Amino acid sequence: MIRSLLYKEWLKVRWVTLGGFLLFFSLTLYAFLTERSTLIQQGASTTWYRHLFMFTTYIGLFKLAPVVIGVALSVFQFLPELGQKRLRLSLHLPLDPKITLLTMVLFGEAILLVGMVFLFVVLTLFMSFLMPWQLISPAILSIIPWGLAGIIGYNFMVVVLLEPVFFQRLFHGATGTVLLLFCMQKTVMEGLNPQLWWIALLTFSSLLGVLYTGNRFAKIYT
Amino acid sequence: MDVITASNLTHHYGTKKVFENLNFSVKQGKITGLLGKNGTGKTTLINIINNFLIPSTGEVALFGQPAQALTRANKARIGYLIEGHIQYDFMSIAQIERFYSGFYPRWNARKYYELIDLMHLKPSHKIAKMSCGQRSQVALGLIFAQEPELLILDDFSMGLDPGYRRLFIDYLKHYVSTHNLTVFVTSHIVQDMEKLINEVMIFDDYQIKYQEQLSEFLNSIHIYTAPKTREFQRWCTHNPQVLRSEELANEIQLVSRLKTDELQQHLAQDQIMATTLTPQNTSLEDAFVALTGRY
Repeated sequence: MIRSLLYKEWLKVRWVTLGGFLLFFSLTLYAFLTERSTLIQQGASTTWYRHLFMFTTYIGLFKLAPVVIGVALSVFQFLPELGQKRLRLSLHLPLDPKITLLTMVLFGEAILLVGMVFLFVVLTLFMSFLMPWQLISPAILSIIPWGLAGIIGYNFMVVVLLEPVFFQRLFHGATGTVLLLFCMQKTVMEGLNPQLWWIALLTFSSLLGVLYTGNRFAKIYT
Repeated sequence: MDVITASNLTHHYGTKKVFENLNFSVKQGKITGLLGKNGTGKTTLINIINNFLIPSTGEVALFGQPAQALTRANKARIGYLIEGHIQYDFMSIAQIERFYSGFYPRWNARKYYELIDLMHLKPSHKIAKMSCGQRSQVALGLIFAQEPELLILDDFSMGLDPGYRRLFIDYLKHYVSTHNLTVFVTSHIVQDMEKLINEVMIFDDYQIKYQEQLSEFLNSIHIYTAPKTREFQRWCTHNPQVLRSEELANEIQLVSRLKTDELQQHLAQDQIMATTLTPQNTSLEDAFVALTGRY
């Protein structure tokens, strides 16, 4: 049953998932080419000095991408369910409605996590041609809060879409925006690392928020 | 055996009462049609039966189990058609069959494709690109393949042209007659219901006013018209044998369980003279409109 449910979710999000992976790949390629030309023009010592001691970064491009992909994913996944109250079809399946909703949300989050792993692998592969691991690992650490922001963006968009009460929808939207701004306040290497555990906690809390709203939605959306 | 049982069911939306203290049951093998004017709570009742909505008070049981605690096995015994034949329109004919087949242990793909093949569409054809009539065939095929024991059909004629309505009813009737199904159905097109159901349930004034075998109901409900006089009008309002009366242009229409001579006798007893009752043909739609009013 869960496999069938995942099949349906995949049918809804396959194109936006492919688009997300392409976006990550294109941004990595762009970062690689930009960094390569900087290295050729300014030399390795100047470039690396700036990265190591002036905290400049080549990863600013990745700041917004996970949030954009996360929000798009939730829209592609849940909007088709909400039109004409189609979610009734899913809730009528011989499966606990809470498990149905949880599976749907975890599927979306899993795609975002796989996307982030893909980004880290591609980024490491490309950048290893230009710089040592000591300059790549801080970049990956710096991207993690933005990746988590992608999951927070996804969860809050799901909450906004599922929330049956308009004013609570506004409240959830505003809360999500503030949290996303917090996750993206700095664009320097490892700028948000001290807050990483807090951001991880917020990500987990936002999942609980989805379950809370989903449970209310299942009870009163009709 | 009762397949659906509602006990003391009451529901409110805020302060607005939808229905109050409903008690009814649907027996196995019956095709029960729920009739009611717009806004009387038909879809609300269906949502409660499907556990999409928690009633303010009372309980619905399906196969003897509370709707809110239905086991997976019992859920798999229920087929549900949403008004407008809504399905996942981002899926194709083949994808939607593959999706649902994973949920139902008695899934029979052949029954689905028997209906689909009649439309001469490719398995890759998207549901979003189908007409409402074609979508109704997909929805019906999916329900047949599920092999349910209870079918809940919410306004099955919505959006269908006469041809597809007839097709839908013919296939459904044939399937129901060969599978000993219990069906609980609503529709705005009462003529369609009449072709399908064998038990009628009428919602009015927050209550189920009538629940009877269709044939008995049609045989026992009589509609009459008579010239409008003030005396007759007053008699209609106060006589308990008149279930409902309504003023038309120059006459009064009344509904009663009594036959013409019996009603004439009552009129004579009450000294309402010179009133000629003209019996009208009574279809289910006529009876429904006469009993619940035009407004």
